[in-house]
Amino acid sequence: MSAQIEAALYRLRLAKPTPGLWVGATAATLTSTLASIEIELLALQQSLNW
Amino acid sequence: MSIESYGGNPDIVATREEIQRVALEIKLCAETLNAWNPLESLWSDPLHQIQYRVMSASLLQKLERLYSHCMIAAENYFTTEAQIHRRFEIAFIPQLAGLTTHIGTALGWKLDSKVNATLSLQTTSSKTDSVTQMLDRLWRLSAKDKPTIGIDLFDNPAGNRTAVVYVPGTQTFGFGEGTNPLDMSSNIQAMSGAGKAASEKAVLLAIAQAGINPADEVILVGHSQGGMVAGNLAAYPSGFIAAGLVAFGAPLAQIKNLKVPVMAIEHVNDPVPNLSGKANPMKKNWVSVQRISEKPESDAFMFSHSLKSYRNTTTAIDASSDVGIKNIKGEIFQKLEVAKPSKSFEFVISRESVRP
Repeated sequence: MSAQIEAALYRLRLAKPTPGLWVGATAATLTSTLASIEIELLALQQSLNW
Repeated sequence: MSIESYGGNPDIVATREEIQRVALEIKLCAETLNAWNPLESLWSDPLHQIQYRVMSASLLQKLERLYSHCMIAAENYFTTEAQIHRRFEIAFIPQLAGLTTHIGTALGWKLDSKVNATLSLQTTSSKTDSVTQMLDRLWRLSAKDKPTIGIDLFDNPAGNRTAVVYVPGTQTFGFGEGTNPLDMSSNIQAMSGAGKAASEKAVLLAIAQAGINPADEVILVGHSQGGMVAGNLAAYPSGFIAAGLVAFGAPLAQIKNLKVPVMAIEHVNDPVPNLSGKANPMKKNWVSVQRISEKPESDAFMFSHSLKSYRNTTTAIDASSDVGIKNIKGEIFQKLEVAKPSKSFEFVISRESVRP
């Protein structure tokens, strides 16, 4: 399961909009939402003591 | 009348591929998170598995929502995606046009001939507040016996002037042998770059003769070759400030330096805009408005390219509430809203005949 979360984190980090290919308000909102999901995912990892 | 558009919206500036890539990664993230481990894992670590499933449920929901929002954003914004990417892409069209002019010159075309602009009519300009009005003015000019450029001047409260310059499309299929500069050689030269086509030089001459000075702003309007020439002048203005571009059925995507508000109006089944070899870029300052032109709209040989057919599109544009269209239209007509009508000129343009 630890590897599962690691793999999910890897995908999540790849999901960030590329500057220059997607800019503007929507991209900014998406980037911050992805960052908050990443924090939640890391918290989940920690809470399961992995 | 159904029109579709892309660009001109500052909220989303993205390529569809990028949005799809992001959406795919989000989906893969959710799938990875949701994947079931082998049965042994459940037997060996059931408590962690249950804890994991419960705690990851809300994250999965968020990822699913994010994925849907990406897809909705893509669909809302790229309703004309098919038109963008269905087109073939050839990057070297301007170079090809340049090579053609070199070959033509070697074969005896004289492409650097002298041009003239002769004042044929001077009246008073009329208030212009719609794209359809612009098209009507251009249509009347295009229907004249001689190649005629229209220039309408408006006085701004700031003391300078705004001019609307109208450039008709190709009128003859000659390659530089006649006196009409709106011919095929001008098409090739305008495609190869700014400042080369005889028609472009003639328009520049007419602009100077209309008394437009470096502090004045110019909105360029053109059909077909006229749109391409207008695009070159908007990208590389000389002796004026370029303030906007409205083009009907014109290849524009090859012009690199267009920083003014651009409204590119194209019929999907009009082959002429496709001559640029690629799709128009998606930018905040550039809206591309597209529609499929039905045959009964015009009797012309290339009905989808005719101004009569484009008039139906402009009617829909003027009634449109699309964000990108409204933004660009607002930017183009902003100056004209407060400006007062002044003089209106028509210039017959010509070039020296190079072949007897």
